[in-house]
Amino acid sequence: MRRKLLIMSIISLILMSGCWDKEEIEQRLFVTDIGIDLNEEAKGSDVDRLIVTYQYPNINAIGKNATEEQRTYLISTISSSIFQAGREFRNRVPFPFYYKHVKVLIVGESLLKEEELVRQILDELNRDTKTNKKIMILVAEGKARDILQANYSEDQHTDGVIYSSVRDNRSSARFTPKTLTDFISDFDISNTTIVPRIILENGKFKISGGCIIKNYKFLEWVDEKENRVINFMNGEVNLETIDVVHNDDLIIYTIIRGDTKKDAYIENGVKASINVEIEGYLQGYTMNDKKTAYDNKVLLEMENTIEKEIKAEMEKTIDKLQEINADIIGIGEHMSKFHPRDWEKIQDSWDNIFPEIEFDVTVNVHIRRTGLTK
Amino acid sequence: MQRNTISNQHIKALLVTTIIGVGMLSLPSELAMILENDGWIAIILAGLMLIPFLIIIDKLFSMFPNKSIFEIGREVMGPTIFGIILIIQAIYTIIVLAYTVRIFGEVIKVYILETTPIEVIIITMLLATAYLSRSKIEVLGRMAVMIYPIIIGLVVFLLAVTLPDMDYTNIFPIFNADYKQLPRGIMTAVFSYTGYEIIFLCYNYSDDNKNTLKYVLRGLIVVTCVYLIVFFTSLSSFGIYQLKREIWPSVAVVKEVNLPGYFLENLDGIMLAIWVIAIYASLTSIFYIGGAVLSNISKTKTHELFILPLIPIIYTVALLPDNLVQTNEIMARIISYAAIIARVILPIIIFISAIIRKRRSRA
Amino acid sequence: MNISKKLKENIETLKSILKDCDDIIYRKIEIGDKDKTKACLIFVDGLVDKSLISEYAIQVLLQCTESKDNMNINMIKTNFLDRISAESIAVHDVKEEEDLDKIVDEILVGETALLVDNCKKGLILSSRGWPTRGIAEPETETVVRGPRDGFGETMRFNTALVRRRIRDPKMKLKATKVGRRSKTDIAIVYIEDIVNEKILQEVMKRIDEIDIDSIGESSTLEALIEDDYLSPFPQIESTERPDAVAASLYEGRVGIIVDNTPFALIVPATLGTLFQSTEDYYSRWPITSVIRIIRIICAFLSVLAPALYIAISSFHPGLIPTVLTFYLAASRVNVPFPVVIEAFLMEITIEILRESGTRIAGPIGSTIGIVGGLIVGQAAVEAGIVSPLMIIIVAITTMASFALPNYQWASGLRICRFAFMVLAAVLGLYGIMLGVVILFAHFAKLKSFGVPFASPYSGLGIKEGDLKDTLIKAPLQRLRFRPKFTFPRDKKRM
Repeated sequence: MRRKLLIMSIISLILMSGCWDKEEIEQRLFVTDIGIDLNEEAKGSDVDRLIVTYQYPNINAIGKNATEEQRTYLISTISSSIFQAGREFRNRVPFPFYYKHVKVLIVGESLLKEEELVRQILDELNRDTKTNKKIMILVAEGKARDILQANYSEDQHTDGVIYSSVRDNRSSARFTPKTLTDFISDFDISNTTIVPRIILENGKFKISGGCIIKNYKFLEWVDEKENRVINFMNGEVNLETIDVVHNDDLIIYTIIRGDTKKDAYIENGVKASINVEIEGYLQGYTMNDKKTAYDNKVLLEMENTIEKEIKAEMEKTIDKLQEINADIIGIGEHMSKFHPRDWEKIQDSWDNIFPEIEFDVTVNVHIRRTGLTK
Repeated sequence: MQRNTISNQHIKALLVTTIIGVGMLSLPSELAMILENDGWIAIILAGLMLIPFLIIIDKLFSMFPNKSIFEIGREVMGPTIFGIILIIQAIYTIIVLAYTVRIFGEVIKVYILETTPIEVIIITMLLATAYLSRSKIEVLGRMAVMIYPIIIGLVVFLLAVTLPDMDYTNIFPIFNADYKQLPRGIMTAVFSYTGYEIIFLCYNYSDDNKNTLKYVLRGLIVVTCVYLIVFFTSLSSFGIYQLKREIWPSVAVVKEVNLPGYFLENLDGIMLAIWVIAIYASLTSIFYIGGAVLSNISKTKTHELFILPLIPIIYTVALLPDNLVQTNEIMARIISYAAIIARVILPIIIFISAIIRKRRSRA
Repeated sequence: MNISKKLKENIETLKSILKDCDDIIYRKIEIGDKDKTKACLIFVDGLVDKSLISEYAIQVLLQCTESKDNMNINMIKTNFLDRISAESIAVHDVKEEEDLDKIVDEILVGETALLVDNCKKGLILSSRGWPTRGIAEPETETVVRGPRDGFGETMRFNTALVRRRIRDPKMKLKATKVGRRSKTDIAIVYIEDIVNEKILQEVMKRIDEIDIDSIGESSTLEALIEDDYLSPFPQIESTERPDAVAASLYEGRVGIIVDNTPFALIVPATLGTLFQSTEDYYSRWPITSVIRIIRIICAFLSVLAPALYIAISSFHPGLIPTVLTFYLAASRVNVPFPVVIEAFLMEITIEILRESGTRIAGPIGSTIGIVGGLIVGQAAVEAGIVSPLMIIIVAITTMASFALPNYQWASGLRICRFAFMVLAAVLGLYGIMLGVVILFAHFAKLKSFGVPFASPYSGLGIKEGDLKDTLIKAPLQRLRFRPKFTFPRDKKRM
């Protein structure tokens, strides 16, 4: 008898309840890209402070039985926060939004000048349960909305073209992809971070270089070459090609792997050393019977030239970083992890110390292969 | 085939699956808040601390072969005092169950089912738990052995998917923590070892009493290793600052995994699904303890009668706190202190009383 | 009730008991030359081997020159019946019987009763012979390599097939009759020095306790002696193959062969054995290991696949990679039903197809499958009622359940599939996990004649290497010991 009661109570419980979270999959809108801009006309107002843009795919245009042409939709509104915008859009779209597949967040450059706003937006994203923390963050030179608009009628991957371009920088060091997690933890550790920059060029988007953000505020643009060098110094050497002039010829050298060692120590002031080991192969030389690359001496000379070039670029970039006082290269981070006692002493005055650090940069280039010909 | 004995393998599996439950999710974050990068020291120390207690229990049971803990307790301490101890134990069990099921409901609500009322989640889980708790200990042992490889598999899975994205340097700086906080840290870690009381109830049913201690110690080492792996993966993936901010870092770590080249995205669903199984195993064991204790206080033959009536009590207690913060502050604190009484002081008292009694009877 | 000495009375009594049974034949003969003793052979037409009765009983008796009153002192046997049975009757097995009810029972089984005037006892001549199928390949369990003989409907022939494979005097066979009216012959077979005494005694005890009027098939017997009749899962295996029965006996299990059915029972059954098939032992071990693992995957698929589809598309589209999510959504555009209804509709349709395919015999049967699949599946997708992914999932689920070697086990899982679908529809992934956990708990609770059902996954035998023969299949050289779950007495195999 007791078992019957138990069974009946279970069944009635299940049948009486509704299915609270059920929502058909084709009746959801999957936001893939979000863009935020500062609403300049409403400065100071809390409710209208942002212009938020959502981009979501048109389900009818995906797959073999695609019935429509337009691949994505774009909507935009004035709102106080990202998720508030979702509620405000609800009157205009047939279905509720679903945020678990958001891939890209584009922040307009004007927004980055407001530190408080950036902090609040970051907290909103960090706290939220609905989004993935692997969102890629990009900074738009100009307005995020314009960039998304340009992107809007292009051919799409299912993941989104911007996302596919930005997520994996294994084949290029022109920009440093940043996920939300890395973004936030960079601020925790060293107060500075670098985020890829996305610009509009001839009506199409281009991800080039980056933007240095310090203390939740915009600091400086960084172009592609500088970004490359910063990547080297951070130990993220990817497949990159370097052009160097050697004996009036342009050598093209492709990097396969790299290894960076950093060290920082206190000795009459803070000194830091960066040692980069690069391995790669010769991509292009010149078709001339008198000039062969198959000679060890020639290779060594080439290596020297490349080393000099890279070292010069690195020193130039370091100077620039010290000038703008942005510790992107992780010297502070390194000290806090590996020399914690020293770091505790100088932690508070890091902003004053960083520009004065003496850097010792060494580059070691190895041309391992010359390709198929001599 | 035989009645009333379970093999040592079952005991070890019971120990591991009961302990690995709700504590696993928030452990890295709590420890990071207290001890920064050195939280793992607290985990190891908490594990080591339990070893002498296991040895005490082993000695206790070998002094009274083939007697259950209830019989030993009654004999050694007198029925009235032992009755009081049992009542404390029963209340402790109810609070632990309420806490576990409440946290479980909260996690499920946050990650999987947002709008489903937490009452439904709690009730369905309790009913499912009741189905198994009404059986004998050997059935629970069998269930534990079936679940044991799944839990280990989960931890290995966790390790495997986060390995490509981990940043080992996040573990540094080590040995830099404030050692005055160590006792607090150990208390927090010990809280995650809740559930090892199941040992009390199944030790004497082992079919090979000589080797039980070996198996049980192995189980404890497994639990410690699991917690260490969880701690290190969370720390490496997040870095110390974000780790302190996350409430449930273990799940967030899996959410982080994004290897589109290998088609692995959004894996938190799998992790949570298997975690439901782990929680179920913890809940059934502790529920069984509650039922057994109550049945012993009221001198009934089987513990089955008490399982169903306990459900409304646990349900009410679980819904008492208003939100997650209250749950952690009030209940977790009660459990931490009660844990010390129930798990540390009690075995010692019983043991000492047993020695005294033996000496008296010898003299 | 005992026989009377007078033949006439006996025949009267028999005729009244067997009134209106027009297939009973009363053949009256007279034995002897000088003083003809009256006798009567009673048998059922259709159940006896008529040539045997004619040649070895009737003809012989008619030619018999024995006389009842022959008092030659040289004769060894003084009893008339003993004399004719020892010296004249050529039938291979003869018994004496004096209880008339038992004689009636024997007649109804197919033996012939020989009643002689002025004798206190009657003779029962073994004459069973009825139309049989002959040895045919078992239709439900075919193998690529291996013997193709299967059980028939006659218990004696079936036990013979098992006996052929175990030529050991330790193979014991205990025959009893079960069923008040059907009096079905069953034989309990086991190998005495391997089997575990407790299992054997439990089997015999439960069979003794049966009180029912008929055992139609071994499944009735199965239902009456199994541990938990409310569970959807089988706790006793059934098989048509004598080599399966013989192999199980070697493992220390007990076989029950039931008359009138080619399906023999094997006791106990556990999770480990339900995933094994006889072909595993005739193929090479690497492929068998892979197939065993695939079977376990199939078990999960057949239970969980539709439920997972429902949970993911309705509740958690965030749990699958983005590319998949969009394709899923795109494939479901303009489908009128919500996923739950779609899933249930397709599952019920498949069940209907399955059932109708079994009912229709012969060539039409296989066409139904193709036609049904084509029409229902393809056309439904074209009409836009069902999404193509649903069809794929339902097809995979059905095929996964056919990949399991034990049909009852697959059927039990089929039932669970519906329960899981309901759970998924209400509580999403959490509902599915609740179902999984309750299922595991059920397995942990279930016992089969004292052996835990979930062996060897639940601890019994893991150390002893039972997993070597259940999860994968180790090469024969590594399987020197018998599996532990039955606690066999003789542990060594090789």
